[in-house]
Amino acid sequence: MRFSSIDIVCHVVDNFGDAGVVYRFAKEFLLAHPLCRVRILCDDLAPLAAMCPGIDVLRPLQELRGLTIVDSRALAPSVGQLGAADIVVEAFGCDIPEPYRELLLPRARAWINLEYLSAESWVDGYHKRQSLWSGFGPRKYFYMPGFTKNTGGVIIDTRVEQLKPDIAAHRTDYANGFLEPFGLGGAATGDCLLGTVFTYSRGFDTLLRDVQNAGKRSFLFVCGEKAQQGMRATLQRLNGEMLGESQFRFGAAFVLFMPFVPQQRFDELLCVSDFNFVRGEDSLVRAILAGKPFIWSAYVQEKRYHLVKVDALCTAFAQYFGDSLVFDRYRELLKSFNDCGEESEEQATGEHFDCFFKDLKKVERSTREMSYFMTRNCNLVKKFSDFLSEIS
Amino acid sequence: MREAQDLRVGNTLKIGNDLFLVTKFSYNKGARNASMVKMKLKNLETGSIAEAVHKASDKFEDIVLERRKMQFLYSSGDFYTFMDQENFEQMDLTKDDLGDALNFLKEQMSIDVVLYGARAVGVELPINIESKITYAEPAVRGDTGGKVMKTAKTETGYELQVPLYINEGDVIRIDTRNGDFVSRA
Repeated sequence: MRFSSIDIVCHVVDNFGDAGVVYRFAKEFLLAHPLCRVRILCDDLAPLAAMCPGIDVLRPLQELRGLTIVDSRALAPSVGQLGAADIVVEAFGCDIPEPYRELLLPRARAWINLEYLSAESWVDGYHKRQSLWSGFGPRKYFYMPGFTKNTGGVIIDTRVEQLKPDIAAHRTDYANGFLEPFGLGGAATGDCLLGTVFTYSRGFDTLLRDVQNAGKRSFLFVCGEKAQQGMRATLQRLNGEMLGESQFRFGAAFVLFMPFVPQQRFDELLCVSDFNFVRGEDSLVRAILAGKPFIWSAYVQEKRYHLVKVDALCTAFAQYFGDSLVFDRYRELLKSFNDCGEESEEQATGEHFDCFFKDLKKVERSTREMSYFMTRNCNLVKKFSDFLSEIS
Repeated sequence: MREAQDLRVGNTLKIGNDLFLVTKFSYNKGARNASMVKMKLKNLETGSIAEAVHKASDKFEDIVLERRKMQFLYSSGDFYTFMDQENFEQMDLTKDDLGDALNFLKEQMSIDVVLYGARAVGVELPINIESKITYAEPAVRGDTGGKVMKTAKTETGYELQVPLYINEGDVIRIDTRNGDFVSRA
């Protein structure tokens, strides 16, 4: 299919995940198709503005680095003036806003539901399937991101891929750049342990104790309000030392509360760190692509269905482990870390990280292999572009 | 109108000007409680088969076709023969017509056969059916916590996950919409 314009429609459910994936997809799509008009239509510009400085939340229509950003809440009176797009992407089945659906969607040539990422095996069977429900005009398809060649892949960030060798070569400099605002510039050395903590609200008692036992000077960059609330409560329980409003110490571990980190800086932080605790979809993908050991904090779902998602991720990851004992320990840790029914600042789950820190290098090797595979075989934007040329 | 997630094998939908019979149905949960369904649909006019994916909340116009209570007699090759219990008329359905219902079909079973004009086009299963377990994996010692499941096979050859306490010879209740174990009968 020939196309010269694409609209990506996004509804912000909560947090930054939906808008973050959409922004990254739009950026990469424009890079792959520089002559294409790429528009994001989002019903809340605040998360976008936080992740990509330069976006003005008060402007309903704006251009930024080649992308057109539209506040879809302001659509009704002027939707006709926007003009239709050849391709309409409905991000995460968000439902296209009424005025757009009535006036512009019927003029599109394809309507694609870009779904959430999942490692579950059923995803293969749903990928690229057509929907017969197309009362609004164009044919509708489902595009399923995933971790195998038969799925839609994951968004590979070109800029990060280009930056990775430099980060690896000058890791200590990059690390000190992140420590500088805390007055710790120069504190990072070649043998210190760096980690990010970006999870849903939870307790970190066992993590702090096991980081201690790793026997290295360590720096934990805690990102996001929920992880910071959980960490603050944990430090109070464990009598951590408060060094400043956003800086704590627990034995040899410095715990640093990061201000909001824009997308590009967050990607760099994941690559600099020795391990990453990440939550949601996009950060999980970034952690895998960073090639560093990660612990995934899954979005808690009804009837503990998130445990099924965690198990599926482990199954997808298993093939990259040479040592089955290391994998078994890692799988157990991921399961116990996520074995919770709801968010809590208490240490509500029974995980232990001693083996994780002991196995860090082996898990890193496996993550790098997965990253290598994904980068070469599962580039979502490339696969998405191929799919567009498949459909007539 | 009916949401996609409420459909099941044997239902008939009108999409555009065409009538489709649902012959296979699966439901899957996406992230953040978003869900999707995949269906195999048979066009009742042309007989062509389409496989389609929908958001669980997509709405369809459902059409109620005539149903007749019939008894499944036997299968021979690709054909499955049913008999009207009132007038003893026999009708054949194919594997494609039956779709997922094949997982639960037992001889002598009484079932709703869906008719399009005078022609049998499919069957509609009750939401729950009972079936006997003919094979169950032994429970692994120590696997007693949480919702640990094991693989079992029913008398119709259907494989599913059942709780550890289910053994060969037990009769269980199965939800025909998703093929999941419900309870011990």
